[in-house]
Amino acid sequence: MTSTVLDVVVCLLLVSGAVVVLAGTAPGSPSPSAAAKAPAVAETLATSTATVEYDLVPTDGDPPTPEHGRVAHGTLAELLAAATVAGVEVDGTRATTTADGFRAAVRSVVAASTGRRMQVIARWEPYPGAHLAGELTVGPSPPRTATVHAVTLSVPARFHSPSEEARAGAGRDGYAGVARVVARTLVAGLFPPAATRLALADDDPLPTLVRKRYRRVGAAYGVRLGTVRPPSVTATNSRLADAVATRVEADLRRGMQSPREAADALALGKVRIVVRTWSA
Amino acid sequence: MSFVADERARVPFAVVGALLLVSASAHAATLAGREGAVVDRRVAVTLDRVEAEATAALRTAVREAVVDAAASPVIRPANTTVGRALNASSPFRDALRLRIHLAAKRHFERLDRRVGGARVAVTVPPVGRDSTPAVRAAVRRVSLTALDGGSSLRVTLSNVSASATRDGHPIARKQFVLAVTVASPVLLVHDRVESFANRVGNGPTEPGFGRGLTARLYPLVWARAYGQFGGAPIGNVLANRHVELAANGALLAEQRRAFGRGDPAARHGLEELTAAVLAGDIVAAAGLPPETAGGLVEGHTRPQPEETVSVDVDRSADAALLATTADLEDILRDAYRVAVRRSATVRASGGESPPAPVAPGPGWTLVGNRTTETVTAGGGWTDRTVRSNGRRATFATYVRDVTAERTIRRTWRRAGRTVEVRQNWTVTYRVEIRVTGRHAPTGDARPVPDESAFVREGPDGSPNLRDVPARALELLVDGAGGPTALARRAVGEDVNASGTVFGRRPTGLRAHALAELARLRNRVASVETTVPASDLAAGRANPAADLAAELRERRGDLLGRPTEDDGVSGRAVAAARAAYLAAVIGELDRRADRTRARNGRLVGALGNVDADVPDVEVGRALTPPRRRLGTDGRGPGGPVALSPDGAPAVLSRGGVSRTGAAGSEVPTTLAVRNANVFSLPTEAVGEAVAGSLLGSREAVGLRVAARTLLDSDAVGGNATLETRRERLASAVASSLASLRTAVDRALRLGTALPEAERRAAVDAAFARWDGLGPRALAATNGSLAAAVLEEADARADWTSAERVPVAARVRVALAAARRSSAGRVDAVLVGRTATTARAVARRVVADRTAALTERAARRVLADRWLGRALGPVLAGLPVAPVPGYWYATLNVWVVTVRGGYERFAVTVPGGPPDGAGARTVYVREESTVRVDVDGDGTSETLGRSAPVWFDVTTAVVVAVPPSGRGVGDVLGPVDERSPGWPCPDTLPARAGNCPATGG
Repeated sequence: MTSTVLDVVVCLLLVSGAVVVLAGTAPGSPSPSAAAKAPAVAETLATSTATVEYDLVPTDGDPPTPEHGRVAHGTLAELLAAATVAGVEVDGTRATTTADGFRAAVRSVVAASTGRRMQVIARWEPYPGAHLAGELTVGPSPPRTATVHAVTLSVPARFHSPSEEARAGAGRDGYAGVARVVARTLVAGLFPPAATRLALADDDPLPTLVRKRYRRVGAAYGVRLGTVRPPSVTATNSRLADAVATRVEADLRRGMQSPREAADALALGKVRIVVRTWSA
Repeated sequence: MSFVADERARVPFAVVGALLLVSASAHAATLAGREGAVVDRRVAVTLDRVEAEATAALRTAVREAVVDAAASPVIRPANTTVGRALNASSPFRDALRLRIHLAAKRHFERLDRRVGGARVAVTVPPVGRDSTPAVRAAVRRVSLTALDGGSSLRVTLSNVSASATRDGHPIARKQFVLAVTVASPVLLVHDRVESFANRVGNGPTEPGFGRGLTARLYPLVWARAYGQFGGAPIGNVLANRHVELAANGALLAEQRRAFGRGDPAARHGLEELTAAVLAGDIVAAAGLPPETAGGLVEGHTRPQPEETVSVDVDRSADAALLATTADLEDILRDAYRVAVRRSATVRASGGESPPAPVAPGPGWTLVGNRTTETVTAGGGWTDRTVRSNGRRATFATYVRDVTAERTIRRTWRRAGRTVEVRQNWTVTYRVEIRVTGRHAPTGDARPVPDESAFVREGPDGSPNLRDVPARALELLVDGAGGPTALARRAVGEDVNASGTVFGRRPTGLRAHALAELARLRNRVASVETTVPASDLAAGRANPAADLAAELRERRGDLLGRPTEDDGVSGRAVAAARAAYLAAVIGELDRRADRTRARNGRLVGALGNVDADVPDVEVGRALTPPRRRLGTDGRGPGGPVALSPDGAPAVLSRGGVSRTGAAGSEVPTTLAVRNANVFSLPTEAVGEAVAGSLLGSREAVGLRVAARTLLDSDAVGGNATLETRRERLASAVASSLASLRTAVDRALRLGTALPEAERRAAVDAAFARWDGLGPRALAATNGSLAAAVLEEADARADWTSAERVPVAARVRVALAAARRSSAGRVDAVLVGRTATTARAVARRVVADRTAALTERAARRVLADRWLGRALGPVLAGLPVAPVPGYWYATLNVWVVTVRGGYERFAVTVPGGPPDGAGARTVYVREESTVRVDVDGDGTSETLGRSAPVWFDVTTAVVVAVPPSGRGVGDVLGPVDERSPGWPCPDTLPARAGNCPATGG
């Protein structure tokens, strides 16, 4: 008798196991409405274009003149990426406020094209744990209780993607090699030499704006760059890059297991855009 | 045995459960096996999404490529594997296409991702550098279209594929064509800059820089030429600083035209340059109001080529007067001509009939007869009153009765015997003989309307034709034997006859006619026409023809309308006046023919100067620049505003900057050569052209020689100069001697002065000028002729009517003598002396000005002594078919400018912030364009960019009225070259014959 009971019990256990096995294998059926929204928004960001009119923000709080007026055109994702990089912060301090008008304009254009109950977060971080990064958030954060669906897309940033050189640098000089490549790329992206030279040689307000940016970034890295003139752009950039490299190297040594890993983790050329949606 | 206890064939539940579990596991395993299908779906979704990401990547790639392509545009493809893949007619576009392809490839590589165990990648076919066709294929995969008026760019990239691979095995693949529209006016900018560069390279015959330069040089040169002509101390009419100014003005205008606005720095620099150059010299020297100065450079004000030159009849009036005076006797006599006629009317008035033959008897035959007659006239009457007879006048009528007594002898014959029978009869006639006359002047006189002129005196008391009837009767009646004899003859023969009788002219008639001619000559000589000096300079005007037409039109006005009351003397004088006017017109017609021939030679000669002589009108053809250029703002990027930016903003001849810090060197970006063609009588080219124009290579006019002699006199001693001057002086003296002979001969032929007085008059006239130079000059400007006349007049005491023809004769004789070979002077002598004198003078000026400030130097120039040395030096080419008709002096400057911008950039603001002002900058400079085509880390040469440059030659022609000074560069080098000539720093290597200079 006891064996029969035992048998039945064992049978039931086995049946339950089978149920569990099947139940564990059968695909679930997620709620389609909330899940489909995020990719749709991402699609919108990647494909629809917009024209943004903005003013470069003059130094010293002067009102902008027609010389400051600009028009930018691109997909929403591109505009987001440009606005993200334009708001780069070094140690939490904004490197430039010149593009604040652009950031505000992009924010409102994106908000108008997406809708309620979603948030777009664009973030540029050259490598994990970097001391400098740019971020732009459009829309409110979701409530804690809501189920959140997220889609990520990555958009080219205006920095180059120096993975190959960085890996070579890692093989040659370790962290310092990677840091040098990263710093050079960062400075070349922040102050593109050819365009900067032309801007410095141009009529005001451009030289003033560029010099102010140099001053602020230099100050953030503790370098006095003096008054930059068109012929001294290369020299100035390389001085700045040296200071940046020191900081980057420290970051990498702290956060990465090996120079090789650091080189692989570089993401200078990408702005990641996360679209978060939720239902009420 | 109970069922419970029976255990046969019993399957334990646990076994069933185990089976269930196994089958569930199997089923689970089956379900788990479907996991692969789920992965496949994710790959497919990823492949879809990656297309959108690739589009975004392409946008970024295009933006990057556009920036790079604009920063170093390919203007000339290189002859390399890669360069040959670019179409030579559109290298910029093809290079942009290639750059887009490469940038897209680079950006697509970043899209690599892993989904599950699969690798998803977006690829375009690689570009190998080894073969031109491969690169060409890559270029072809990209297509470009400018949209929205050029403000945006549509790019299509074909052959893009997205593929998913697992462990190297392809599991899914998709191919698509990507198309994006990017707000970038790069094609518009390139086209504009190309058009700008082309126009800047254009010479004066095509629209663009050359024409703008010419249009600016014209008013400058004309203002200064007339300033010099008007006596302003201008030694160098067109200096290179003026060319520099005009060239920069023209370049700025081209910028405005191509881009809607000019480089602000250039505008500013040009204003400073204008102020520096113009304030000091054009305005002060030419007396222009300062506010016009800026306009001159901007090309807005161009008053000067509308300057006109007045040409009057003058010398032609003299030549015609001489001719008319010589013929005056005939002209006057012909006005008094009367055609006279004698006519007779015979009417039978009575008498018998001729008797019939009567035979002496039967058988007689009439074998002959012979009639004789005796005619006697008598009786009748004579009327010698002048009477009207229609258009003729009857001077006299003679009526005579004529009786003819006739005898006829008839001879009869019969049988050898002859007998003569005589019979008489008488016939009477009435014969009327009439002498008539008609005023029939030949030439230009008009006949009198009726017979009264033969009867009454004229209104001026002159006898008219009153003597004509008597002379006619004497000729036709008395000379023919008298009226009775004529009447007798009239019966038997025709006595009608005609003849010509000239009325006797009153004694004062010739003097009166001469006075009238002199008056008319003065009126005619002052008739003038104005022709635009520019037409004269370009060989397009024919003032002589204009004058002839003018005189033809004013003929009635000049001659006056004769009244019917005029007597014959009035008509005779009118005839003389008409003949004179016809002679003037004939003279002008011949002058017009010579001018036509000269114009042809002038145009030919200017062609030989190796420059296109542009139409003066080109200045007016400049269209005002559009203020704003770009699209209407409908494009995605909004309106496009192009900002040109040249480096340097203002092209400089080099040397020391006038506007920058004192003494700072500026690079030579402009090379200028400006050669004054007719800086007569020195330069070889001037001689050559002048020679071909004047029809002689060896001789120049006495005037040029005299000027040179005078000017060299003013310049102080130098042994070479002394020798040359002496030789020139003896040549001038021999020329003067031939003039003296000519004048003496003119006085001998034209006056009745005794030889001694004539000689004395000529000597006194020549002695009025002290020295060869002034005397020779006086011989060429009319004052010597005037002096000869005064001296002769003092001795002969002429009336004004007598003086005018003599004056004409002397003037014409002098002019003829001057252009005869004896009157001209060897050009080589003149040229050598002038060159030496000018060199000496230049040294003197240099010495004197070295220590002075510029302002003081200008005062020195105005100084009398130097003014005499330098100011009146003749320059320019006298425009005259023959020297007697000098009516303008022209000169030509051949100007060549070479140069360019070291860098010429066009900026278009727009795009997201990039850290450098959010702009696209298109740069043209001398550089090599390299791109890493095959991705091996080293760049391949695509081609070269090219700076904006020009090498333009133009010519400026100016004409001033005839006067002593002429126009031309008399101070400073005649062939002026800027420090950078011939190769400025910014001229690209291949331009001209310059060695490689640019980057």
